[in-house]
Amino acid sequence: MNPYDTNPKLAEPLSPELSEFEHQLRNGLRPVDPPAGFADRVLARARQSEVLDNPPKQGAAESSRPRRFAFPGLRSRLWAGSAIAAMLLAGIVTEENHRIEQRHKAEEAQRQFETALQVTDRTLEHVREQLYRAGVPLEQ
Amino acid sequence: MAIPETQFRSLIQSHQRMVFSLALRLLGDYETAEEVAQDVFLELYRSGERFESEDHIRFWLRRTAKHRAIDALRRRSKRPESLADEWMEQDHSPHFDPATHVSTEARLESLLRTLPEGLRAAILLRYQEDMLPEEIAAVLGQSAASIKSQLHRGLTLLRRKAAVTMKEYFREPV
Repeated sequence: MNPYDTNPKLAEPLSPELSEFEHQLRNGLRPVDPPAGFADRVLARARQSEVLDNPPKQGAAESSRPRRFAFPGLRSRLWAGSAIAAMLLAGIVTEENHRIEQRHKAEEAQRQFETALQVTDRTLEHVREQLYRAGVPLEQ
Repeated sequence: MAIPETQFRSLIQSHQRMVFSLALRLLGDYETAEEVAQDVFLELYRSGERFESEDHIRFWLRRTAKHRAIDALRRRSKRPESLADEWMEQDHSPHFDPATHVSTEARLESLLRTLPEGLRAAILLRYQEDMLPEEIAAVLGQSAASIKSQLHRGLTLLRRKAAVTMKEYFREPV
């Protein structure tokens, strides 16, 4: 259907002297078909770009490669085991250090207590001597 | 695919003539025109835009086709503006040999390609796509008054060129 039949504004020439030329131009500029197979080529490019935009996941690519470990998940289990062993070792070392430190503290406290006792004994002995010289009778 | 394949194919088939013709007449060669037309449809495919109607799709395709064709023109550094200016300044005698039997349509297309990009796009949308100046203004992002003025300028220029090179078909208005 000619659009000019339904839309009178389209038929309105830009200027009367150009109307004939406009008509010729309209006839000369009819849309043309693209080369055959155009839609197929666009679809092929769309499919290709989709593959390029969303490449297969890395895991999928790895699965086609020869695997270093024959059992699935063995590598991750080894990693987990090593990590746990390292953590246990670190815990044991820390605990041992803590125990040694506590023992040192206890020995130091014992030494200080013994020193304090010796000082007290000497002081008491000194007082007893002073009282004896002064003639103060001391109960046994 | 973002759009189901059958739907995308039907979209291409509905609009391929319009997109390809715009690209062809803006660029002037089949190979680049097909490449640009393909790019336009791929851009539509990837755009993810929500189209509300057929008119919306048509509007988007026309605008994108025009932009991509102009981009391609600039890439290959073809300067139709300078060609048009040179044409206006030269003393012309008919260029076309009637013996070659080139069709009127092909001659008109050749003349059209000598117009500056802006005028050419406006003329194409008006006479190939049968659009109103207000609709062309929306696609090209300009005022309707500016489009009317460009159409008049483009048409006058084409008419003058046709009167010289296609004397057997057109006469200069008196």
